[in-house]
Amino acid sequence: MTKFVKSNEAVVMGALYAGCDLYFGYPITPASEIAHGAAKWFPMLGRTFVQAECETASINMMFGAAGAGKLCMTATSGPGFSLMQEGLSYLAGAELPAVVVDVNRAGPGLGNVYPEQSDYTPAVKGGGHGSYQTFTLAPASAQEMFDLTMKAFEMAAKWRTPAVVFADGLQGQMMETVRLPEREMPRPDFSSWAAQGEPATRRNLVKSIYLDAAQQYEFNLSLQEKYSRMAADAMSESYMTADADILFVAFGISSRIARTAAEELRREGVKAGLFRPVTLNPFPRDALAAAAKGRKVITIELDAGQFADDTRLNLARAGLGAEAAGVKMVNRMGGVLVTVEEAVAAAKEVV
Amino acid sequence: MAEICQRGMYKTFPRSGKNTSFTHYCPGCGHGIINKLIAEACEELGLQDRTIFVDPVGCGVFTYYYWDAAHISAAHGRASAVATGACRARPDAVTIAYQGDGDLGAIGFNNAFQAASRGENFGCIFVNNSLYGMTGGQMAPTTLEGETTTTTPFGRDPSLTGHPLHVCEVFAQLKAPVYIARVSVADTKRIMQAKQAIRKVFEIQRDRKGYALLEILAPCPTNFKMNALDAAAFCINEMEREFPLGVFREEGRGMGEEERGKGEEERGKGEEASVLSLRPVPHAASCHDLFLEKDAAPAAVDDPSFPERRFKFAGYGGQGILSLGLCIAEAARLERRHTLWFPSYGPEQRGGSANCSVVVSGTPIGSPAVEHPDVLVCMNQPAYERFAGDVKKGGIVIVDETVPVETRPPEGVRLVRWPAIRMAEEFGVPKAANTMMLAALKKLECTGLSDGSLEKSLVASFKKKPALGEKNRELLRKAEQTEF
Amino acid sequence: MVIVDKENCKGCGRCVAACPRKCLRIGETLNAMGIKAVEYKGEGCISCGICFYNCPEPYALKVEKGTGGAQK
Repeated sequence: MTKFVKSNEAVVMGALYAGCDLYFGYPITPASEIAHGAAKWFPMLGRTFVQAECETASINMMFGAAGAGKLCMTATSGPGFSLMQEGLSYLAGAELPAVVVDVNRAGPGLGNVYPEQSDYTPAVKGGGHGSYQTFTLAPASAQEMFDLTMKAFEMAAKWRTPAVVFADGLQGQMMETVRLPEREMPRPDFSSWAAQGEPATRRNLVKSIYLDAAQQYEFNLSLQEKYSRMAADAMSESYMTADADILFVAFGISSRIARTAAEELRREGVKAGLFRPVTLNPFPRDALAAAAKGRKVITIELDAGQFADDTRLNLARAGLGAEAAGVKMVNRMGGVLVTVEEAVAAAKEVV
Repeated sequence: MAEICQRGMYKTFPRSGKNTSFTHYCPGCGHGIINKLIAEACEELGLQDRTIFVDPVGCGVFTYYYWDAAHISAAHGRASAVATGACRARPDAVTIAYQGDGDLGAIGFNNAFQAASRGENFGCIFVNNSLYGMTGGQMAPTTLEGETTTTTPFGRDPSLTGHPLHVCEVFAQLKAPVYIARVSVADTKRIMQAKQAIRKVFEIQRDRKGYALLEILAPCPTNFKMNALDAAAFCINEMEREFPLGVFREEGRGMGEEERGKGEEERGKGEEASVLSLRPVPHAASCHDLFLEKDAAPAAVDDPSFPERRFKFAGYGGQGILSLGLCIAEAARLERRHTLWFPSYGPEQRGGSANCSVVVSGTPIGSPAVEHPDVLVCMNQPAYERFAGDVKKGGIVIVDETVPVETRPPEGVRLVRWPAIRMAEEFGVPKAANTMMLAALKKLECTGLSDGSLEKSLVASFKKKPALGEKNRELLRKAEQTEF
Repeated sequence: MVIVDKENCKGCGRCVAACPRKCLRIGETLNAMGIKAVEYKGEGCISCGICFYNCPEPYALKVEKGTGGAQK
């Protein structure tokens, strides 16, 4: 079955198919349609929608609901995402599964409501206090807004860590065809650790505090060990990379611009390809290295270079120092998109 | 042989890292007395298996060492938000938030207040000892005028720091809470009242009656810099003068109940129909049930022979610009093309101008941005001026004939003027100007989509008003008779 | 009668002040924490439980009805 839907609505559908039982949220453009869809559909399925008084409340309500053993979510944009960082740290510290959707708008400050990818650092590196990580996915279509929201719940539950679906303002508003699955995901069982208000969970304790420094140290080590295992679930897409001379590296909406640019370049006889990280954390480093080895890398991004830096870091860590040093970037900020022409021109310059 | 001893607590407290059975509280601390009463009430009412305690940050942070029930340890100030999440997730649980006066009265006031206003099903036990205990005796919103704390070293000066915050009195303005009371643990009589009140908070949750707030005045000998007895006396002699004990709300009485009745009388509700109504939520059995569309279009198939077309539709909000774009996208879906639609949004949309972009392609669509449309439809002058210069060579601009065209479109772009607005008015359906534009798109054969699909899509866009769909089809055909 | 577990007593004196029969007092000997714990004077307890409810500690005091007061 297919449906022509706004990407923001696809997020809600994906969450419902994933077994998300509670939505907590505060309106913000350009993410509000997610709240609108949730307000309508969650109650129709007997699930819970709560309009919180602020984003701080949203994320802490999620802490309560996740702590009580249910799948829950929120959606927001930059300013709200900033307010949620403390809560994300607590979720990670208590090892709670929950999903936050960030529909990135232009910043800093109030900025505007048009697309940027400038929340990269808090969305990918963990913007709150302490050494924690989130499982971060970057959809590039309405279909992926659906699929990767589902995936986010699966990964959040698997790794007991908050997952972030990192989209942007343009994508949120876009309508595309989405193919819906036949079945809903079964509800995971969290009774071994959650505070469910049931006899079997009476001794369960959800907390992020270890007063003893040695214990907190041990806990940090176990978290880092878990994050390193998460790398096995990295996802990426390589497009026309096998014989490429030029490799665009881009995620989300920028990857679609890069894809069109690569196709354009091929028509003009330039061998261009695209590498797209689908998960930004864990970063698909090995796949990037395979696609980038010996190629000229150009990142396409809607930020000041946070993603280019991360690309360099991952190339360098994969042993591709020369490729890392040669990374070029085409970027825009403020809600302005990189154009296909700009990407094409940058590639021609490198060739 | 009856025994008076501690119930509802673990016998020893290994979660503290030591296997001892004394608490982390200072000698004479009010928290200790309150912790004992809470554990006892939970046990005596048989609720330990059902209870979820939400622990605060502050001196109450380690209640999970003591109370034998499930716990969630919240961030500073957020216990009421966390309790909201927990009680919504587990409606059959007994959810109890335990908060201090910095936690609830300052950083988390709005979370607590809004949860009370929503009437969340949890009980909030709020310990007021007039200052921040754990962090070192700083001023709290509840600090008394003239009280010395580490951040009011010369006494709290109301001209600089305001007056003590009366949490119960403020919360009593809300309609939803079913119980609001202030008690104390400063002496035996007061402790026994507190014991009953705590029990009541649990009973309200057990019976799922709604939100309850219990404020408890508690001595903090350490930060008062007093011995336990003087600290208890301070609670009675100084704190109670500012914070009188009593019940502010009980089921069936209290400000909320009275106000509710009065307001309705004054408004004369029932005499005139109100525009406000609460409607039943339609039920769906499953996601499939909710999202299944009877005539869902099949998925797109790849057809590289179909050239990609990019469209921009622009005009003034209310001219049906967005639905015209959707109509093209839907027609493309009917023909199993890849398609994408997106609108202008945000403040731009509020200002009155509207535009949307549509891409139709035989292969998966890369960039969604329509920088250089093949087809531009303009319903007003600003739209023309903004977008006409971007149209691709070989493309078409269709403008309503009312638009004064002061600058020509770029070289190689065809300009078509079309009386969409006038025709719609002449046909007696002024709102159908977008349908008139569709007629032009159809006549010009610039969509790459069949007439059948375009018509079908147009009719389908009036799914909820089928008669209007047919009417528009008729108007569409009529408009096509007009020559360019 | 009241039973004091002096290892769990922090010596705050709330129970001493609250006891209606004045049968508790702060002792002279130190417990393991170095606190002068409360002690039962040995007579007068009517097992009312007031000391237990005034005590901030869960396990410093308990009252067993029908037994003689004791010191642990």
